[in-house]
Amino acid sequence: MNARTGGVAGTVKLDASAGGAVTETTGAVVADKLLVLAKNNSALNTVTNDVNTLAANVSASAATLDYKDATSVDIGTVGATDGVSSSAGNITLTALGTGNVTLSKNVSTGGATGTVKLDASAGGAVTETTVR
Amino acid sequence: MIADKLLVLAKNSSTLDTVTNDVNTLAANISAPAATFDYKDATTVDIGTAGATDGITTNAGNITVTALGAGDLTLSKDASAGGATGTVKLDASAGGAVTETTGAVIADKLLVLAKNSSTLDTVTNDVNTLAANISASAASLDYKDATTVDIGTVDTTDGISTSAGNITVTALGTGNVTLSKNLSTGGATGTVKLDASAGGR
Repeated sequence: MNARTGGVAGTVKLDASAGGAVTETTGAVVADKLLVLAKNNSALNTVTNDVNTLAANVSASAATLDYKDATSVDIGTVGATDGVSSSAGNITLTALGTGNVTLSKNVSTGGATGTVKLDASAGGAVTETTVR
Repeated sequence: MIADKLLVLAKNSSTLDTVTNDVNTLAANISAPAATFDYKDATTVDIGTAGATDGITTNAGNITVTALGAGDLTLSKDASAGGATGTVKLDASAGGAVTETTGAVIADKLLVLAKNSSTLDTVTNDVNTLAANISASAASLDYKDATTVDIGTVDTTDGISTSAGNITVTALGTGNVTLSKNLSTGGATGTVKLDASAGGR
């Protein structure tokens, strides 16, 4: 099922932080901002996802987050959440087409373990703007 | 960016130069011709393997990796601009060293800036022009190249200089060591060794 605000404005908040995961099977999110809150491994890999700003927290130890966007996406602030964080879980953020991945807020696995993969290889760049 | 490993895959020039970045291992591939890659880390960072990607590769684009604070810059995998063009700049001048464990540098030009004794002796290093500055007293520089290497100008740095530390530059195979700029330990102490004994001059 798609969650669609029309894209120009509006925030989609997907919250399974109490104990679950957020997973796209065939649906996409189209909005200005997307906030993903989950406990377990969450994957939003539908290639038609299209948001301007993404923030997320995945709380369980080693739980991962994957997100794909059809265009450019900025890791920023959505609601009260800054950037994308996990607890040692891998984080993969992909911009498709000619989209860029930009970071105006942190992407953090906590530091000791976990891999961050920033992928704009389809046609874009990876750039930090204001903070790590 | 805070993580154990960071993998950056991009087509166009990519810059991650926030001074609070902190990862242990960095790998990247930048695919467009002449597209560049810049990365800064608050502490020590190793150019290594992240995911299925080994080291840092560009398509003739410049590569700049900087370790801040007392951080060292280590290479367990290659930093490669492809070889014909492109500059690799390895900067641990704030307080660290630049050290190759198993990685090499393949580029047109290489600039090494460090505080402490730095060793880049992987035998597959291959650059045309080398420049370096090692700032701490008596800190040394060792560099090996698979072919001919010229001590020249890279960015704004001319030649190789230390503060009384030994300098060793070795060309392997039939490679020559040539000097278009000075090698200097400052003069009072320190040994400069230029070694093309394998087959060059």
